[in-house]
Amino acid sequence: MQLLACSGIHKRFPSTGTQALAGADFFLEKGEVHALVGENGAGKSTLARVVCGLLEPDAGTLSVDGRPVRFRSHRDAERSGIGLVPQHSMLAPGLTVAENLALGHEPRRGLAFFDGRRAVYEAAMLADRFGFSVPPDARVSDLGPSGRREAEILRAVARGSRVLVLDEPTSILSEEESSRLFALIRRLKDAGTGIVYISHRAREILELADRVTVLRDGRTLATVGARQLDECSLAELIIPTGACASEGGSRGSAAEPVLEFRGAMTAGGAGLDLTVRSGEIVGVAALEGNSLDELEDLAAGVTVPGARQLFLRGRELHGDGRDAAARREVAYLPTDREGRGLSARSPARDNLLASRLRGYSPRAYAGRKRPREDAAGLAAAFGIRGDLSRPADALSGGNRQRLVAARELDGRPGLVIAANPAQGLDPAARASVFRRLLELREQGSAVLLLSQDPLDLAELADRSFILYRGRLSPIPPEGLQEGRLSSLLTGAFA
Amino acid sequence: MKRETGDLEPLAPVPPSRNVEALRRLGLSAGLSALLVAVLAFLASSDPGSTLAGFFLSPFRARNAVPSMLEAAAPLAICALGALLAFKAGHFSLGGEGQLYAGAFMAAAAGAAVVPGPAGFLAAVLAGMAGGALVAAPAAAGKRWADADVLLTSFLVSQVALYTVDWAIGGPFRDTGNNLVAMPAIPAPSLLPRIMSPSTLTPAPLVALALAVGLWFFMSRTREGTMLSLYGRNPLFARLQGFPVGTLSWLPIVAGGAAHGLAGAFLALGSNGTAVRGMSGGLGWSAIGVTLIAGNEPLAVPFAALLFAWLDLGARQAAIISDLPPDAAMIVKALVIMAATARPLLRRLGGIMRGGRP
Amino acid sequence: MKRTLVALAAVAALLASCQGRTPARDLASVAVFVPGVASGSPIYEMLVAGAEKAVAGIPGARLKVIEGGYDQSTWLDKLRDIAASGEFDLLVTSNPALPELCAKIAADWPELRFFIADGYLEGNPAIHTVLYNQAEQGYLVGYLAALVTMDRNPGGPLVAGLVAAQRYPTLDRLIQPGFEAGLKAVDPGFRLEYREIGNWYDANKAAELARSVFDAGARVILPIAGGAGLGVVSAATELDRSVVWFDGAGYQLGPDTVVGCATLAQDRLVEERVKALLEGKRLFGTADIVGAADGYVGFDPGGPAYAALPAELRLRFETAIQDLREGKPDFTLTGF
Repeated sequence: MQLLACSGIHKRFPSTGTQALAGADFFLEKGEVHALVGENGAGKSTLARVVCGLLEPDAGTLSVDGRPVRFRSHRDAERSGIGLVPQHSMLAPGLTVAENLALGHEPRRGLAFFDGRRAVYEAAMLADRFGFSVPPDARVSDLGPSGRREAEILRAVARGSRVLVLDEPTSILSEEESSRLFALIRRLKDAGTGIVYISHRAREILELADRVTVLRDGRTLATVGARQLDECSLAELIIPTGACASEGGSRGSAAEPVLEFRGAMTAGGAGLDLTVRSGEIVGVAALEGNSLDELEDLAAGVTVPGARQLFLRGRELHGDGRDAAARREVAYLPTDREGRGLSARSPARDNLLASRLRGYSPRAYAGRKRPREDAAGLAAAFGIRGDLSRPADALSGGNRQRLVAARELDGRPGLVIAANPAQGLDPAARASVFRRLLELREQGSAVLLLSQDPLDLAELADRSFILYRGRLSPIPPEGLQEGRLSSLLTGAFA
Repeated sequence: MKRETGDLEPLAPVPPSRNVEALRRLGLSAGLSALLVAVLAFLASSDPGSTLAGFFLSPFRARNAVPSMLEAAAPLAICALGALLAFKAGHFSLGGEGQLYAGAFMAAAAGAAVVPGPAGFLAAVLAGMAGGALVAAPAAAGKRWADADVLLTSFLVSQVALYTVDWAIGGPFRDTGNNLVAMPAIPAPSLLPRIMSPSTLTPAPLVALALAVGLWFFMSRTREGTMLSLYGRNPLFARLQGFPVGTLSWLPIVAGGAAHGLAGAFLALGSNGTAVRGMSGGLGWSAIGVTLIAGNEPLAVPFAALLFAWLDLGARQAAIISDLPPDAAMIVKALVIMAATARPLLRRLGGIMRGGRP
Repeated sequence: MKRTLVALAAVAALLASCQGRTPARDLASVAVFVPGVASGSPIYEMLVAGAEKAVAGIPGARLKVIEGGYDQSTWLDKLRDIAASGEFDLLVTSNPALPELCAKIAADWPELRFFIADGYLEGNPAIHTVLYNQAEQGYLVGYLAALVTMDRNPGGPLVAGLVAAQRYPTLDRLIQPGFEAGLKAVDPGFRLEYREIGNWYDANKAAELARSVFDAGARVILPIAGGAGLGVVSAATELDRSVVWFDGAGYQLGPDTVVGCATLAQDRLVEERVKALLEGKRLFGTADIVGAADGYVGFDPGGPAYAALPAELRLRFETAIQDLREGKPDFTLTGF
C-alpha cells in the first residue's frame, strides 16, 4: 500500500492564469526517499503545497495509506501525517526548539501552566530516537541553518508525520552539515517515514533517493529508479538537450560541459564549482561585495585563474595570450561595457565587427561593401542609431550598450558570458537582449548569466545560484519568484 | 534577428570623412606656417623682404628646388610613417632619432663592404632596416615581456644608440683619409640613382609615397590593420576579443624601427654618399611633428613632410639671402605642431571658417 | 582662409620684388662660407676679413657671409643651398674638408666657382685651392715649445702636448709630424702626448684633457681645436704652464700663457686670391701650396709672454725661423 498517492492533479492560478499542474502524478512508498525534480516552473513546489494541504487542487485525487483524502488546510494534512519541512523556517525564533515542538500541543501542569520541563523531555526523547543532534533547549534564533533545519524536521516528526516533504533542504548547508542531514534522513527512512525530496542537486538526489519523479510543464514526465540514473541522464530528464547517451536523445548538440569552474578561487576564499553546459542558462546572482565581479573576471579571462581551475570544453584556460583561440568562441557582455566592450575612440563599425573580422577574406574586407552591409544589418537588428563611421563614443550611452550587445550576441558563440545584461537598456532593448539570450540557448550555446538583479535570473536562468561570501548556493526558482530577493541575497535563509 | 524597420530617426548631419579632416588640418597648418613665417620675418630679420623671398620665392624659383624639397621630405615621411604605425598600435615610440642614425650607419657599413651595384644597394637597404629594427627591439621586448613603458624605453635605447654610432663613426669606422668625420664612401653604383640633376632627387620620394599608400591601405582596408587600431585604443578589449595581442605588443614597434632604418639608409645612399657623424640631425624628432600635423593619417604624411621640408629649405634660403638666424624655422615648426594638435582650437577655427558661430 | 593665404602670398611677393633683386646676375657676387663659427676662430675671422677687403676693392662686387655651424653633416646641404639660391658666382671658404664637398656641388652647378684656402684639390676646373704647409707651421711652434720646456724645467721630462679636436689628414700628415720634428730638432729625446677632444667647440673637455697632459709632464701644449682651444689656455693658466698657438693672434687669449703664435697669413692670402679671381685671373683648376718661404707661414713675436722669454732662447728660435725660411729643414710639398 502506498503511503501517499497523487493522481491527475490539476491546479491553475487564476490570478496569473498559469496552469501550474496539468495532470501530475506522484506515488510515495513507505520507507522511501522519493525525489521530485523538474526545471523552473515545472510545478514541483505547487505539487508539494497541494500534498501539504496548503493548496487545493482543481482536479485529481490524493490518498494516504490508500484512503482518499481532501485537505482543506495545512492542519488537515498534518493530521493525516504529512509534514512539511519548508525551505524557510516557520519556527518561532524567540522560542526554544522544545517550545516550538510543543506549540499547539503544549503539555500542561495542571490546567493552565505550560510544563516546560516536560516539553524538553519529550523533545529530547524524540531527538535521541532518531539521532537528532539539535539541543532541544536551544533557542531557535541561536541555531545555525543546519540546526534550524533539524529542528524543523524534528517538529514534523513530533507531529507524527509519516510523510516528510523536504523542500531544498541542503540549499544553505555546508557539505558536512548536508552529510549529517542525509544520515538523519536515512534513519527516518529506515523507521518507515516516506520522504518527498525536492532538490536541484543531482548528486544529492542520486546519493539519497530511491526513486525520482520528473515533472515538466505541470505533468509527470517519468518516474524512474534512482539506480538507473547518473548525473547526465538525470539532467537530461530535467532539461533535454539531447544526447546524454540516453534513449531518444535526438537533438544534434551535446549537453557537454562548456565552461567549468573547478575549485576556482576568489577573494571569498572558498573554491567555486560550477559547470555551464551547452543549451542551458546558468544564472549567478549576488549583491555587490560578494565577488560577482571576480567571477566575471575569471570567466571572461581578465584575471588569471589558478592552475587547473578553469576549463573551456575541457581545455584549461590560462588567462593570457594562450587562450586567444578559445576566446574567439566566447561572447562576453561585460558589466563594464565601456572599458571592456568597446574601443571607444575607434569607429563604431570597427567595434561592431571586431568579433567577426577573421570571417572576412582579405579581399572582401578591403572591398568594404560586405563589412559595411553586415554592420548596418547588425545595427538595424539591434536598433543602434548613429553614424557607424564615427567613433563609438559619439553614440549615445544607450546605443553604445546596444552596440556591445549586438556584437556579442550575434552569431553562434559556444559560450556566452552575460554580466548584468540589462544594465543601461530601456525596457524594449532589455526584452530584445533577453529574447536573444534565450534564442542562443536554443541554438545550443552555454550561457553564464551574472547579475546583481535576481529578476534577470528569474526570467532567464535554468539553474540559479547565489554567490554569497564566496560560495555558490543553488536557488530554486520559486525562491526567485517569491520576491524574497534581498533575504536570499544577504544569506538569511532561515 | 528581427529587423526593426522604418523607425530610424533622421540622423545628425554627417561630419566630414577622415580624409577631408586631414586635408583641412594640413591646409590650416600650411596657412598657419605661412603666417608665422611672415611674423618671423618682420620680427627677427632686419630685411623682412628678403626673408620672405627666401621662404616664398627661392624654394620654388629654381628648377631643381622643388625636386630637392621632395627629396628632403622623403626620409621625414618614411620616419613619420614608421612612428605612425607604432602610435596607432598605442605604443609611443620616441626612439626614431637613434633608429634612423643606426640605420644610416649600418647602411654605410654594408654599402661600402658589399660588391658595388644593385647588390650593394640592396645590402645597404636591408642593413639599414635591420639597424633601425635593432634599436627598436629592446623597447619592443620590454613591452612584450614586461609591459614596460615604451615611451621611456625607446627613448633611452635611442640615446644609447646615438652615442654609440657617434663613437663608431668617429672611431673604428672612420674614414681617416677624409677630413670630415664620416665613414668610407659608399661606391657610386650602390647609391640611390639621381633622377634630376642638379637636384638631389632620387626615387626615395616614390618609396615614401608607396609606403604612405601601403600604410593607409593596411590601416583602413585590412583586418589586421583594424585589429591593430582597436588594440591601440583599448588593449584589454582587444585581448578579450581574441586578437593576437602578443604580436601586437612588439611588432609595430620593430616595424617602425625598420622604417626609420630605411630612412637612414636613404640618407646615406643619397647625396651624402655615406654616413656622416651627426647625420640624423633631429630628423627623427621632426618626423614625430610630421605625424602630429598629419593628424595621424597615413595619406596626409607625405604632405606634412613636404611642409616641413619647405620650412627647412625656406629657412636656409632666408639665412643665405637675408640675416635670419638659421634655426629660426624651428620656432615656426614648433608652433605649427602645437596648433595642429590643439584639436579644440582647430575645430573652432574650422567653425569660424565655415561661417558659423565661434 | 584660402583668401587670406592668397593675400599673404601676394604681399610677400610684392615685398620681395620691392627689394630690387633682379634675376640677372652681376659677375661678382661672393659667398663666404664659414664651416663653423667665425667669432673665436682666427682662421675664419681672417677668411672673412680677407674676402671683405678683396670685395671692397672691386667696384660692383658684393659679399655675403654664411656660417655653417659646427655640425659637419649639414655643410653639404648648406653649400647646396648656396649654389641653388642662384645668388652667387664665387664661393670662398677655408677648411681641408671643403674641397671634397665643393666638388660634389660643382658637379651639379657648373656656373659656380670655388676658392678654398687651407685645402687641396687639383684638377677640378671650377675649384682653386691653396694649401698652407702646416708642417712648417707645426715645426715652428714645436721648436719653440721644446725650448720653453727645457728652459722652464731643466732636466725634466722631454714631453710636449698636442690636443686636437679630431684627427684629419692635414693634422696627421702635416701638423703633427711638423710639430714633432720641431721638438726633436731641439732635442731628439722629445716625445709627444696626444689627446683628442672630439669636436671643435667643447672648451671644458679640452681643459680637462689639457690638465691630464700637463700632469704627464708636459710644460707646453699646442691646441688644434678651434674654439675649444680656449679651454687648453685656461688649463695652462691655472697650472702655470704654457700654450703655443696656431693661426692667429692668440696672445690676447692668455697674455701670460701663450708663449708663441705661428701664423698663417690667411687674410693676406684670401684677399690676394679672391681679388685675383674676381679680376679674372685663370687660377681655377690649380692647387697651390704656400709656406714659410713665401711668407704665408710665419711667427708673430708680438706677445708679452714671448717677449718675456730669455733672450738667448728667443735668439735661438729666431735663427730657426730664418733657417726654415731658407728651407732648413726642407718641408717642401709637391702634392697632398
